[in-house]
Amino acid sequence: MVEFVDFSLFYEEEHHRLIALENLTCRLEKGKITAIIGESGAGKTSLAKALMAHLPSNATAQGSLKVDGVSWLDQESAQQRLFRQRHIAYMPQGGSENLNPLLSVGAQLREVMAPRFTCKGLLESVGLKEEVQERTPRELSGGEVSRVLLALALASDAPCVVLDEPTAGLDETSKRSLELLFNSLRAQGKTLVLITHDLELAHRVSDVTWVLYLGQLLEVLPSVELFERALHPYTIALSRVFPRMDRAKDIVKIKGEATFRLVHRHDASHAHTSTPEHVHVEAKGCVYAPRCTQPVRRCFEEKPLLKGTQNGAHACYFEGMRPLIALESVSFAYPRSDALVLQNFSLSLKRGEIVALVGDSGSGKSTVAKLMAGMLAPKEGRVVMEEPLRVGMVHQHPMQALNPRFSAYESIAEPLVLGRFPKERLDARVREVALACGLGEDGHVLDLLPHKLSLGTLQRVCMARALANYPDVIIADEPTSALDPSVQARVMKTLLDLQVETGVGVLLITHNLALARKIADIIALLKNGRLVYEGDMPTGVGGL
Amino acid sequence: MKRVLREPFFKVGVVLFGAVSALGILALFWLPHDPYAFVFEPLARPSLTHLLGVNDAGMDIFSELLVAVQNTLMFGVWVAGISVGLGAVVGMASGYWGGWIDAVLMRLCDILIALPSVLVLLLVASIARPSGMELGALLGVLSFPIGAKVVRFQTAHLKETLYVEVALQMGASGWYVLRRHIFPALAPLIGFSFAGRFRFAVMAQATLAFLGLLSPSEKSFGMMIRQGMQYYYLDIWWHWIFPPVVLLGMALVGVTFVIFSLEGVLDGRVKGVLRG
Repeated sequence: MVEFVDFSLFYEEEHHRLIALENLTCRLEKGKITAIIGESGAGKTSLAKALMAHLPSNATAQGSLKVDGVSWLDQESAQQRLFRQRHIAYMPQGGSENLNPLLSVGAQLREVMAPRFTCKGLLESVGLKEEVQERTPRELSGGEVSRVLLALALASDAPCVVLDEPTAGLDETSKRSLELLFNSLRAQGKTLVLITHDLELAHRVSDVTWVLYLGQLLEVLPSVELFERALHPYTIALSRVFPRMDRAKDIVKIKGEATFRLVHRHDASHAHTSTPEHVHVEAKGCVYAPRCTQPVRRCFEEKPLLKGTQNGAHACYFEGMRPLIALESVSFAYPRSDALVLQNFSLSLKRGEIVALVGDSGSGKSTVAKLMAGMLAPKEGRVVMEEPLRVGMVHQHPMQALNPRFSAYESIAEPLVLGRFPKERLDARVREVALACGLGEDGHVLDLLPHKLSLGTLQRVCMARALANYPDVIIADEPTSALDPSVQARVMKTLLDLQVETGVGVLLITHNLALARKIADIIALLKNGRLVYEGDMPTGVGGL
Repeated sequence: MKRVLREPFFKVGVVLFGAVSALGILALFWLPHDPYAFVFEPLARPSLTHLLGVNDAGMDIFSELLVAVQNTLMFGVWVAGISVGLGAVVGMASGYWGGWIDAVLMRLCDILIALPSVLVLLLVASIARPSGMELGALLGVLSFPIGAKVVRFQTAHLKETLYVEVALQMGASGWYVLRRHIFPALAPLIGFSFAGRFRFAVMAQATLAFLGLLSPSEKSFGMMIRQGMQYYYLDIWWHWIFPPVVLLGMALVGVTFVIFSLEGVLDGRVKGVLRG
């Protein structure tokens, strides 16, 4: 019933226009809860305001927004206002500042109430007692205010209700009871638009999720798939940002920052007559590309359009994170031995993902690492790699993995020298990556030979070497085995930070399940050469 | 390095060998007489003009001695260079690439080891009458296989180290690995071999010359001793035979002491080579 076709919304400022929404083509599904998620500035509230037809005077809209086939944003008329009031209601963001502090709740409800409702009925429908209508807003608790605001939104009996951050600032109990209310509203056939930062709320309550970024719709997907099967890198990044009860992994930031998108006018005097011909079209390429960890050249040159997938749509050239290395039903035995080290083993490593390979000694972990690094060839099955692929390896024993005659500096510089890194930038790169791995505070550490350095420092030198030449994949075999917890935390933080910035895929081999759960997206549990579990391991598995 | 400098053996060795070398360097710039001119009174006693007297052919013995020092040092460096250089190249190639390269090179070494090198030298020297440097080259070629085998073993071992594996995984070429990882690790070993081979060459030259297998026109300790020995019944031993014997001894003992002291101090490093 609500349909956007190529809908754009701009705010005209003195010298530029600010793009709030751009080329939105989508339809709200009737009788369902649609969650709209995205960072601040994504255009969520602008979308809500457009749905309310309550736009500031400097806003201009393009394209069409139709509700039940009627153009929604045409010029004001009493008839039009009534039509809107009948169709879409709004529950504003925030608390009692949305209410008139002088009037009682009942009085405020009666102002907007449809004839078939009573105050008592409305309040009861949102779980409040009848006597609340006698109170003024300052006599209400935060949870009660939210319910009153919802009652106000329901009072006009509109079939569609826009809920703007309905649960922000509420305690868990009030939040849960509001969620139940939303469910019952859906059961009554209402269409709800849930604007929220709370991904878990969207996941639990809504049917469909829209992901907005800088005014563009990047993905539409069934909410149940939000954390597990999102396809757009931004949605995936958002899901990693969000703290969840059932997840041990640490939250990870998204690199960079969302900024406003401004278009500068050629001539400011055309402020009110400006048409699209008069503005720069700055949006060349994907809006998310600057923050994306897997962009290709095309992403910066040509904007990906929203295209349908199995049960949603997404605006990206790739189906999710790009796979870097995949082992496909691989079996492996060492030469002159019949015993299979790996049997029918499949595991894929995607860009921006940390896969932890956990298992007992001798379960085949290091063999998997060597197969992925291309140091061994499988007996059966295939190893599929994205080409060209730069692999950085971090070995378990730093003392052996570093040439005893190379200073830390020479070791870190080695991949750069081998990768024909430009000589004039080599020194800066070595120092930069050393600093990132915590080797920078004391410059002369870089000049020392391995036997003068502690094991923890050596492990960081190995890490720096693996990271130096911008690898696509890091394969780390027990990279922190020799470290005390404090240094381990530091090395792992470095790895995570670099992953945020570069989107490197990491295969982490470890005995330490707690560490794996803390930093990995996927945990693969290996037992006697077979994969016995693969997932994010919300709780311990198999007695581990 | 500081520990080396404190070693008494090292000090003595450097002084002995330094003194011999100083004479050789002196000869580059200054000689009292033309050592090849036989114009003086034969068998003249030492005097201010002829510090060590004159030999039976009328040549100034002191000038001859200075040139002999020079020739000896050059011969030593020449032979040691060829022997150790070939040994390093053959050993590294063989150890690093293995396979048929290793098979061919090592069988070649086995053949050379099996040859009785002294007999070969005697034979070649008496039939072909080569110059000293040519004979030195032959000596170098005959003596490289042992060194090559040691280098090969070390290289094959170093090739298996994790840091070489890491470099290869990062895209290093064989040449790079040999140049950056393997050669520097072998350098102390190669240095020792050089000193040892030098000592061997100096002794070999003296022997060959004493046996008269080197051209008499090329001055050397061995040749001077041989000539002096013909007149041992005269009272010439102290100024004709004794000086070349002493200088030869000083050179040999000096090098030996230096090797000995470095071995003690660099032991850890050499063992490090063994362990990788």
